[in-house]
Amino acid sequence: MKNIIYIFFSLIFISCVSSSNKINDKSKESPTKGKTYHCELVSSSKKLVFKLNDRIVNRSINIQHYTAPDSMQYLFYLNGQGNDICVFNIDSSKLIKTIRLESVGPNGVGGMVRGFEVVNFDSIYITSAFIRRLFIVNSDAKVIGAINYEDFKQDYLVADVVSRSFGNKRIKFKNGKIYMPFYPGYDEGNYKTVNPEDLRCLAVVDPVKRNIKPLNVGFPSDYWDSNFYPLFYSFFMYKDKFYLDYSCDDRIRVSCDTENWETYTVSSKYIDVKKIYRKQHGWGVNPNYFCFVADPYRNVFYRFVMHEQSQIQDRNIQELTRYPHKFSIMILDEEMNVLGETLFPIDTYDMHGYFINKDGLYLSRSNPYNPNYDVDKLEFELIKLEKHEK
Amino acid sequence: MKNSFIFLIIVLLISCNSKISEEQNAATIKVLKQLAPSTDFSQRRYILVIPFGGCLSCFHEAIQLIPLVKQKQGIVIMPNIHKRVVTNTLEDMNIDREKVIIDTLQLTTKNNIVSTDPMLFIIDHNKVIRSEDVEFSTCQKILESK
Repeated sequence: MKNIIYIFFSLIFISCVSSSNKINDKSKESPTKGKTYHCELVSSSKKLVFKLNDRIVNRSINIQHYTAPDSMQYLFYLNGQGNDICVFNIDSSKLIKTIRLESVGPNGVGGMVRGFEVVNFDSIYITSAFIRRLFIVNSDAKVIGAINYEDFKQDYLVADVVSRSFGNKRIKFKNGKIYMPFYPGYDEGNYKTVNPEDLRCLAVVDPVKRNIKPLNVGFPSDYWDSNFYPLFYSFFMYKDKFYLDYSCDDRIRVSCDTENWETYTVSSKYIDVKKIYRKQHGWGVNPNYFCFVADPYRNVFYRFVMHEQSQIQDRNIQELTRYPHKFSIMILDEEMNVLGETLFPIDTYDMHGYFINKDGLYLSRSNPYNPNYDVDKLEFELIKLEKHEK
Repeated sequence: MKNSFIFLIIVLLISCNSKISEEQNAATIKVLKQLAPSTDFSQRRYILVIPFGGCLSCFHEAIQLIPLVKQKQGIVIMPNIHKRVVTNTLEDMNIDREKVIIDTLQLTTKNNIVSTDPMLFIIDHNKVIRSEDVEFSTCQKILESK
């Protein structure tokens, strides 16, 4: 009788423990059946060209489209690797302002701005390397506020956050809280000391209660079963849902409340994301899903797929990462069904230079390997989403 | 006998590991001569190579070493396909562009002289006699020594 009671309580305990895992890891295969159409991305003749002065580099890690209350469209553009935010008027194709952020002093935001989030012209949230603080600046580069989360109560060390279009990691504001992505900190040297599921890469800040908590989601538990893979990911909010896409894994996680996460396995038809081609020279040669982004105007998602590039010997790792020789873009619907995958011509676009507006997806053509490359121009081409009956 | 054999192997391995190979040495000197053709590498030279894109803190530390390298009549090489990225960085950090070679063809990275992180090389008699990953205090000691 005593044994039966032990077994009974053990079973209850096990069931409680297993139900506390709120990640639905059924890894449901993305269903494609039942769709009567497929989609593709088609190049159009429409181009946007901005003339650059001799300080502006036609490469950025953060490009944000912003529509002002008067319906004018702007592009906020982090210049090269510096601290300048260039503001271009899309309608006139002109540079209207350069916000030169200071490194130190009362308006200092640190020496290496790694991203920003535009709320409006008078409040731009700045994320800086090595600084665990969010700065709020206006378009005159004056710091008008800061959230110093380093001092906030926290059980899990939340590293410096980033908000940028490169890889699409974005901070988001909801109900007075700020949801932030950060780098989990593990690399090839120490990854075996931690279960990937226990890693944290997202946090929520409550500036009023002055606390910061990691979100209840890590990396898939089998993430490192076959090899080491870097902890790159995309994170954003769309229509009140949270999206987390692992660069080196087929899986995408989606949550309505940050507590319960649904897992989708969505594979590109062009890559085996777990295959490693060359390790010692970095990850630029290995295939991955570098960026996942929502298109709110057409209610679809784009997943940028970097293909294997081990055959390209005359480029270094930074170039292969920034200007992949070959890439495609997957198109997904809200249920994470694959609607199509478009392959792009080699050495034509800068796949990391993109923005989306009501016209469609704009991709930068400012790729130094494009024969028409011009160092004094920042050039975008409109790529349209087309739907075809099956 | 067995122990001495193992010892010999270990010594061999350590000595191989601590030296730059002849092939790598030749490739390094060749690239340096291409980038700085007027420099006499038969004399002792300090060469700091700072790529963009690797570890951010290493990059930051390496930038701070530029004035010390210049004091030693050394050379700073910054590989980047975008020249403006380098010139803006130097301007923003108030660092004189003189003696900074902008390697837009990225010969230093393509020839595997550096990967993603900065390196300090000491050249003497047309040979690399020492190469160090940039760790500020170690490199500072090297550059401040007579």
